[in-house]
Amino acid sequence: MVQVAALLLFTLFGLPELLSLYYIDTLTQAAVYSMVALGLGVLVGRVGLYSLGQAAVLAIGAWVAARLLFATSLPFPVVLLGAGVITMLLGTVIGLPALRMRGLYLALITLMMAGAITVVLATINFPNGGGGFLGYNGSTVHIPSIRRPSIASADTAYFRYSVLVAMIMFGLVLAHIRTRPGRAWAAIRQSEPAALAAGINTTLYKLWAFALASFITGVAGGVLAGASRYLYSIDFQPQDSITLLGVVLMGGAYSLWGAVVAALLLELLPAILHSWGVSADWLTILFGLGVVQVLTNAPKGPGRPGAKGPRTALALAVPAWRAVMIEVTGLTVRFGGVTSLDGMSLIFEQGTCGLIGPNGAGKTTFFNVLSGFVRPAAGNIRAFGTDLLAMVHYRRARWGLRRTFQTEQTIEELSVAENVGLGGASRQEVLDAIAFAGLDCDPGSPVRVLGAGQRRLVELARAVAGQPKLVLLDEPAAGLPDQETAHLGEVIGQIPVRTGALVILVDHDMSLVSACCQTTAVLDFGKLIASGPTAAVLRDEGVMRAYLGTSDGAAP
Amino acid sequence: MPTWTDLQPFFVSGLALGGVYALSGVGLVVLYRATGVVYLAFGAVGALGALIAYSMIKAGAPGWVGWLACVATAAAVTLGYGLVFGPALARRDPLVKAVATLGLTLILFGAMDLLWTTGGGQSRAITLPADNSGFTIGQVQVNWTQVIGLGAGVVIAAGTACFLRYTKLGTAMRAIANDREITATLGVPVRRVEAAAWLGCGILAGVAGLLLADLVALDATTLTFLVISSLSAALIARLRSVALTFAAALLVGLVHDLLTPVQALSNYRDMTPFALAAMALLVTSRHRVMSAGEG
Repeated sequence: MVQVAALLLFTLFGLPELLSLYYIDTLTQAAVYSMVALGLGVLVGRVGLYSLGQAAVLAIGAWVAARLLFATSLPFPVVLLGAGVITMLLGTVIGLPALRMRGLYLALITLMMAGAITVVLATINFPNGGGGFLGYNGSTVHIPSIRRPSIASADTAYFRYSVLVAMIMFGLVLAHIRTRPGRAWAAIRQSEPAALAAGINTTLYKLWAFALASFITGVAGGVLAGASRYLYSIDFQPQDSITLLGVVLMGGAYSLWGAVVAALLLELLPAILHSWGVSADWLTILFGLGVVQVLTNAPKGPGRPGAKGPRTALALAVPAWRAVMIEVTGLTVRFGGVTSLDGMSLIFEQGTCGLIGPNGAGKTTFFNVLSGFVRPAAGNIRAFGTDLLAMVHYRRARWGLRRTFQTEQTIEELSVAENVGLGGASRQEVLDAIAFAGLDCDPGSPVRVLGAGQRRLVELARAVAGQPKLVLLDEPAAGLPDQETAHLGEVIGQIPVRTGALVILVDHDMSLVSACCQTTAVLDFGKLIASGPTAAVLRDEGVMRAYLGTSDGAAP
Repeated sequence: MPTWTDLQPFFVSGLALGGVYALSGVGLVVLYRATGVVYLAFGAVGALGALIAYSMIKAGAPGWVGWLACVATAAAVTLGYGLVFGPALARRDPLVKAVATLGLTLILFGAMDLLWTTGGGQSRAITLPADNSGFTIGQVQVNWTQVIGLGAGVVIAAGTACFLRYTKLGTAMRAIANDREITATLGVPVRRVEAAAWLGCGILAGVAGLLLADLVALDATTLTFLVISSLSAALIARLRSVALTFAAALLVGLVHDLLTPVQALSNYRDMTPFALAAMALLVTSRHRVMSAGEG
């Protein structure tokens, strides 16, 4: 706090003594743009609303202030307040319908609105002391300048005035952030549905953010009118809005200091470069690089496992009889501190193999490793003599890996045949697969007209079309009635016979597992606790305990 | 009010402009559907291509070399951006992807301003040989560039619609638009399909840049922001339908040019794309409830 006060005092009284008038004017502009960046920072950083039209909002504020200054003799602060309020009202009118949209569409509509405002301003021009509602006086030779407050008519005094106005605006935002609106905005930024569910009136608070940002930007426009003394519509270009968003992202949209940094980047840096004879275009390029850099390096979504940890491989000896198809050794997957698979080692042989275990045991994680969605922290998978983990995920499908998901995942836009053939199977293979799955519908009909059971069969057909080597079925019978489950079981049982592929079936339906699977493995808390012939495994006491919960003795 | 005779020439120029908007709009829609990127640098890469073509032709290169260079530049920059930044941003929100292309816009914008300084009242122009020959319908002069503008729009829109519908690559693009992860798991080489979409979009940007440089003006700012007009057509079609994009683009072009002779509105005619797109967005969003999927 002390540092901030010291910095402020130095800015107000120290800087003007040290700097030439050129830099004083530059810093006055920087004060203006720190307010604009502040408003945009509230929208982008606090609420997550991207506006691509803040330069147009600034132009509105400047226009209103200029009009009021020419038409009235109101004190300057009152004019600033008026510019802020009128801009706020206009911004809210524009924002109100736009707020029904979110994300991309909201950003694009602000871009459109800004474009429209620019066209209007280019036509009506800025007030220059003329009469009428618009206050534009054609092309007169003598144009009166826009007045400044009487206490701050000199450039240095006006600089101090601008900094003080900016300070008040920063205080206003700080007051919002520390109280209820700030908390509501944080909730909205995190997740709008969650904020709604928590009882926050998201529309009100988003509109509030819009109104606040417009108000601040309107006030900034008023300060700009006084600083420039003459305003021309050519000074407000659509690309300024983009540059503005660029510097706000580079300066840091979330922090209040970011607004100051953004303003200095936008105003001071070009002035310094100019005095060195360097073109400001280099800065535009730099800002562009900054935008791309900031956005690509922003935190990624969840689901990326962290660094490798120590191995805790618990190898279980499994007798190798018949053809070994997949050999898993020491497979370990962690999500942050949670170990989802803990040193899993297992050999899969020909046929259909069941994989069972309570929820959270790591079954789907194992499938996600096989299909390449999750990178394991440790371990190896050799499948048909190839190192599966070294393969890019879409290549695995080409290679012969097929998979269905817990929730049915057909692509609604495409027809049955297009869905089945998506992996690259020929037309004949597609038709064969559809017949094999027992789908009795037109291959050309869209998937969205099919029922849940039929969609499951489309997925199965997709899994066997072409030459699959490894078919992963993740709860294919979930949500199906018994009769359809029985049909599904028959089809699944036939897959290895027909295609020679290895099938791994995850399901909670024990009747389906015993009907289809020759062998079964059991996972519990990421550890393999049993594997072998299905009937024997299902009778095993440890399996009963872990899976059916007959005792409290879960794995340690 | 202007009479029908006054309007006729603007009808022709409006259709030509609409045709180029359609071509650009279709490029934007295809890229968005395949990659989820609203390519806001579309106009800027077209402008860069057109400026390079201008410089080459001025230096004595034959016209067709310049035109090819224009298309090649736009295609190369677009594909390069897609290959370098596409994967890094693939899982991000469409909003972030769109704003990132604004970064590219700024880079190109700065570079163009640096290399082709504006000022001194000098104006640049690209003239296509099709400008000087033409024919008359009734009393209206039609030049071949205008015909090419509309024709290119029609051909590209129809060709793209068929491509998406009937080819394997088109099917793959539609599938990726629906769900990238699942499509990848099913064996579609996602990155290659996306690269194809970037390349196609870049080529269209180059063609559009060349035609607009001739039909409108060869100026970095103007061309960069002409993307908004094409984007408005794509937005009216909610970034999905190629046919609707085509129709909307013709509408934008026609309304824009037909307003020119109307005294009261002439100065505001540049608002046409913004106004139409904003209205379309507001009307269509009324029917939408909150969904987790798109923004």
